[in-house]
Amino acid sequence: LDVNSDAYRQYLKFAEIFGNEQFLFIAIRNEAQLDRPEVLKWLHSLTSKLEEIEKVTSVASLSNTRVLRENNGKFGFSLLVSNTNGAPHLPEGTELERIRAALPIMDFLVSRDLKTVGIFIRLDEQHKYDIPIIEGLLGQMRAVVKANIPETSEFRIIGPPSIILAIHRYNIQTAMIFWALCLTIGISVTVYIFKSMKVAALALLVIGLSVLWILAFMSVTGIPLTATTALSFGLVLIVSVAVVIRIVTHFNERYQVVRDRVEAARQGLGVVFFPCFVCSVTTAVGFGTTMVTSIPMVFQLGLVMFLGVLLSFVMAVILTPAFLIAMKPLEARSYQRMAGDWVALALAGMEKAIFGHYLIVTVLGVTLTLAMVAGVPFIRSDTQLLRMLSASTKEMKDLRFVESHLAALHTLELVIEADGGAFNKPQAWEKVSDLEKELRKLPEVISTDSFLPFLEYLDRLFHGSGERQGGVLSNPGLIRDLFALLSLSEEGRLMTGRYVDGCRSLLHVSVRIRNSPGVPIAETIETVRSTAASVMKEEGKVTVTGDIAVFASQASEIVRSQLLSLALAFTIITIILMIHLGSALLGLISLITNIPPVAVIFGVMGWLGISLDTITVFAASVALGLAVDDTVHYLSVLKEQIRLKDPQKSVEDCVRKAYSVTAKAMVSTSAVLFFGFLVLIISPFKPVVSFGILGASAILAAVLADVIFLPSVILTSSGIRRFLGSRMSLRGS
Amino acid sequence: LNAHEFLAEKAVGILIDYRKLLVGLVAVLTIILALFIPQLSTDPTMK
Repeated sequence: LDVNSDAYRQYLKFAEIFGNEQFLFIAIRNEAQLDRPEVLKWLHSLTSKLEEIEKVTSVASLSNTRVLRENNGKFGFSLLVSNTNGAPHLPEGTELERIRAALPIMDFLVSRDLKTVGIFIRLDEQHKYDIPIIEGLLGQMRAVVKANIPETSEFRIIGPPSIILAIHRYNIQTAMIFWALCLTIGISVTVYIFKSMKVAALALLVIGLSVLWILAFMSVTGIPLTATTALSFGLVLIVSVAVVIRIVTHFNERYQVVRDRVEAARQGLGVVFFPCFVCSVTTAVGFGTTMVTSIPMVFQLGLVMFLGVLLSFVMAVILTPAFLIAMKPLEARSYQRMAGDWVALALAGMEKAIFGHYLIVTVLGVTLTLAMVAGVPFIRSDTQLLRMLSASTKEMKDLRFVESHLAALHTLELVIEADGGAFNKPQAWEKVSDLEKELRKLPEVISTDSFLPFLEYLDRLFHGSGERQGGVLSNPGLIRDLFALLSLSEEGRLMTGRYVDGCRSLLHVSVRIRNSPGVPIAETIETVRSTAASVMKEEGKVTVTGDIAVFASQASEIVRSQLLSLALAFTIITIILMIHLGSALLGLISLITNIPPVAVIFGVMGWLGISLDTITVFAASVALGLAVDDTVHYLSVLKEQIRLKDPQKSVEDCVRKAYSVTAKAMVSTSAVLFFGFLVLIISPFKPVVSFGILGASAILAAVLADVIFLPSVILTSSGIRRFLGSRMSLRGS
Repeated sequence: LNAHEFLAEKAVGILIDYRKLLVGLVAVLTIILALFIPQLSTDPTMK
């Protein structure tokens, strides 16, 4: 959370004036209706027990709600629940309905069928993001509720703090499961490819030491283990396995020729060292550019990943050759099994298809890329906290329980800033009345809560109903008098203070919204704000705040900064490739294979309706950093083949040789990355699931682009062929 | 050879010729760094 953002400052100002909106809400569903005295008795006892809990600022339930009403000719605040001969009871039907209309909070305190009651528990603002404190409070509340309600009743506790807690918990769970599954996948792929437990143990050693060093780096620099930094271990793991796989592949290839482990390691590492270094740099840049953010957690993830990727490269190049030299060489039958496994056979079949029909493959690749690009206009951005949890999570079920039995909990807080004393005048309240009518016409708005119904209730209470035209707004001095009257009692001041400030220049209107899945929250916020601004333009400035608005604004900021990071990653990676390949044109050729993964990410988002949010926006720059690795290896080997200046070889022979040398390593490392991303679909956290789908799609697109599309494009394009041919003759002369 | 290829060749030479020294260095540093791990802080506050 960026506490320096305008949205957060606005929210703090709002909380300071009108009180914080930080609450936990308990909904209790009973068999018996609330008009039964025993139900009201346990509600009273439960409310008192909840008030005793430390760090709870206030508790609001039916049992302690006080309303202004007439009692034996006198007006004053009294408890809504009356007590006759020791038996508590609710007001009779019509009076209860009148109070319900005057006090919108009543919708949350009791359902229309009188079988569900709600209790608001306000917490101290300073504990808002304090997970251990919220966890402790929730535990205490559950125990108190269980002990005070009948066994047949069911209850739910929900509210922004419990949602934040759930997201935090799911995030950590996801990070741990991701790490464990990535480890399993990395090791399994290594064992399958190299048919050797020793190589798998070597990969495990590199992974283990890389993670240990990252943890130590975090300890030394004071970077805490958070929901985002915990996710980095799984990502570092799959990246370090990829480097080990490439080194071992080239070692094995060279060992079969030179039959000397030291020389095989020297030659193998010689081929792969610089491409692997460039790959690590590009991957680190992909992750590192996510540091372009004002959100500390995201910055820390970018930094840990940036250093983690480079560190795992250093570990892999030190340990892998050293252990390959020290280990007993693989047996001949292992090489035979490697050459005859289904991956090798599939790649051989693919080779025939590519080099026989490269024009068709190119057309197919371009068509698919364009089809993906066509999905871009359908991308929508929906940046809000609640969209992060899938419908099957306990928190979302609890929320639906409250919404179905009581009222919608999603609110936007509208603040109207006018001249001093403006809200003492009926003209301003007429505008407020118009505003509420206009807002209720909006499809996403369920209802509005303002102080106007209570003023009308007071007017009817003091003057009776029906005799006067225009009600509370007809008498110029009446509203000022009602405010003066309310200011005489503590309850009156509290009630007024939730909606109007002391100078009568600031007004708060709470807007309950549907938060329909098909409507992005930013759109709802903007519609509410612009509607309010157009109605209240003569009265003053309108702002929309509240938890939902703050999170939406912060998340939009992350999305904006990460789109910048993608552009940055794309530019830096292309420059690195141009330098590495020693040619601007070869660098640009590498873009051919970088476009499909990025197109797939945005195309899948558009076509599958995956929202661009705080987590999915990372997918593009991260996948770009990872996807470019295979391109680097392929083009490095191709460049090497061209440099061999063999007059017997054509451009097609060089392209084919580069394919046969690199294809298996590309497929193997991509398999680790693909499955690594795919395991994220187990997460209960929707953006993480989307991140997994997008990452896996991008890796699939990248490997297809590198293994199939790139050779086909080179062979199809006469310009590229001429360029490569000229490089060969230049080298040869 | 390009400058970066020359550097890469040198780096490979060092990695192969001094592999035992480098592995030893990694081992020693790992032991030292492992001592810092218990100081790792967690921040579940989402601040």
